[in-house]
Amino acid sequence: MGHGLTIHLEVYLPFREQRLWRGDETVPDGMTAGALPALLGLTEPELAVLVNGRYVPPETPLRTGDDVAVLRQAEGGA
Amino acid sequence: MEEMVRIDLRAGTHRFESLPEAYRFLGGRALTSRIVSDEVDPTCDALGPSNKLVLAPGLLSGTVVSSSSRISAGAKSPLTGGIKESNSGGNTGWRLAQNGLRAVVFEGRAEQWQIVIIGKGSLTLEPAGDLVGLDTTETAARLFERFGKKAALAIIGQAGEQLMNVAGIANTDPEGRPTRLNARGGMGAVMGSKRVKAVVVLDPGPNVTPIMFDLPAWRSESKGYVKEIATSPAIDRYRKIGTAGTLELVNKLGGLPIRNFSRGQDAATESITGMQMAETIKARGGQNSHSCMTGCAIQCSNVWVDEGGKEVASSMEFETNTLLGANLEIFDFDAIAQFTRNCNALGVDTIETGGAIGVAMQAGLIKFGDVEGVLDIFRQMREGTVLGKLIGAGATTVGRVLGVREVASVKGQVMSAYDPRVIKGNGVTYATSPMGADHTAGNTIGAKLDHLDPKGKVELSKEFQITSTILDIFGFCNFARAVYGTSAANMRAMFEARFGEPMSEADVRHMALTTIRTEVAFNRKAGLGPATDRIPEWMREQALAPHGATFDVPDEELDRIWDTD
Ligand code: SF4
Repeated sequence: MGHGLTIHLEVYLPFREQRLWRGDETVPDGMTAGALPALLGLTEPELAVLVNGRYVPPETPLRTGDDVAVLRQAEGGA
Repeated sequence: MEEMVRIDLRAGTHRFESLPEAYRFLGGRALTSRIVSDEVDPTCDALGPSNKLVLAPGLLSGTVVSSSSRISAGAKSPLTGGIKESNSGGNTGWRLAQNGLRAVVFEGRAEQWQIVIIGKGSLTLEPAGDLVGLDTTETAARLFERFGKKAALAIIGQAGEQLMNVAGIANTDPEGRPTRLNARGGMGAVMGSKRVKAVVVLDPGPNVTPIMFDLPAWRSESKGYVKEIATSPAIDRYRKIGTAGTLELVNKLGGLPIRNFSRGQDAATESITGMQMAETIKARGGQNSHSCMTGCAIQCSNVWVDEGGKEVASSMEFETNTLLGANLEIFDFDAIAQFTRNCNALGVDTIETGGAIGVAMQAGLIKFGDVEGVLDIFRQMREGTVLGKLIGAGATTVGRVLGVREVASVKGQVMSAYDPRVIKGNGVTYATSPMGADHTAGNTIGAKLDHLDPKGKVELSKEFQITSTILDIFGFCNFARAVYGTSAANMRAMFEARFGEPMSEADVRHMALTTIRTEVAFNRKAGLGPATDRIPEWMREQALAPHGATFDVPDEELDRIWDTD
């Protein structure tokens, strides 16, 4: 307890110097899906945070080994 | 006066009619579906003379208010055997509405190929002459030379002439590219069956708009809507990255069609993400923000250029990049751009064509990943070889002929870039929309919720289908959905300013539900019973990696979707 938990993280962000970041990341215990973008310094509006390939409620706590992807939300095309 | 025009192609005559009272407040999809339902025998041959093709702009079309002049093409579909409304951008809807037309109805079948020239209160039929056999690009170039670049064109390519189910109607964008298609459901084949090669809609002069009941109110309400567009983060995404940015999301969700819908995720898609696309376009000097119609401030369209900066295709869309890319295991934008260019020139739906090629690849006709093989298929479609015609018949027919059971289609129409085993709300849309497996009828991907959970997906799809129908009726692009929550009242107030009649939230919903129920009733009479409102059985059996998901929304829930308001 207290040493944080390690997640596998992918961040997709266009128009930033590093447009795709991928790797293991240690985050504080109790970190939630909804609070993660702020922790990572991501301020883009309407980000999508997927945990193990699914949307989860923002208050969902992350667990060690989770596959987390942060992307821009998208609405699809025609 | 609000008018529609009927063209009897067999007799070579036409008739302007004032819009019947019952149609006064119908536009876009509501009007095409109502006319088709009132006037077309549901059991008719979709490519025979008794089918009718209806073009209708939206109720609020005809001005340069952002993304408000979409064009609906409606008929009985040769692909699904049911009713179809296929929606497109480009300038056709704007020009028709400027010329005071709420609908154009094409009836019968001409002896010789024709072009139809429409102006304010005028319509002329002319032999198409040497335009026959030309692709959409060359056809557009010749027509612009004759009628000027300010005209809007709706044309078919060689696919429509050959009555292929994959054929759409290509509408020209503000720069004159015939690259905006009423793509889905074979509307280009219906136009071809009438022997109409092109519709030319003339420019009625500067600043002409439909007559407004209350012009100052129109101006102020449309300003409110445009302000929302200018400030919405979702719209900003469309402007910067187009629709293509949906790919990385759907891939991470595990619902992206890969290798003929056999996997839902692939690391190789990294080379065809939206962000990759936007960066490449920027580096090469293409155009990341582009309007497909005059005045659109969303500008989701783009122009892809080659390494030398030469234009290849407009526009690179998420669904195209998936069906003609990932689904064929081709993870290369330059190849997909070539395919898109070919599809636009032939005048075909990239989704149905990509789906059909994917099934042909599964049958071993050509290899997955074979770029040259795909380019050869386009050549064969142009030339009308047996293989070209087979692909042109669409994915379902390809599966039947080549013995492939894994065809991702509903009512004979292939699914788009969202596997229903994972994006279950879209699965409900595919199954229950009278349009067949058409994501544009109600695309739920924008909802931030667990797409894998079957619970609540019927209600979700229903609400998205209703909103899409409302936007189609008004003439707004479906991407204005991003501001619908904050702009619905503006849109209704724009209606009141245009027509001088009140329009409540309940009225709008009723209008959409009535339209959908009219379409369902047509389908039932056409022989498409509830058994056709189904996701194919193999998608309930074969689990999709990585989630191991199957489609598991109960049939009984699907059957009840339109029972209540
Ligand atoms: S948002 Fe895109 S598809 Fe819609 S009208 Fe504008 S450019 Fe065309």
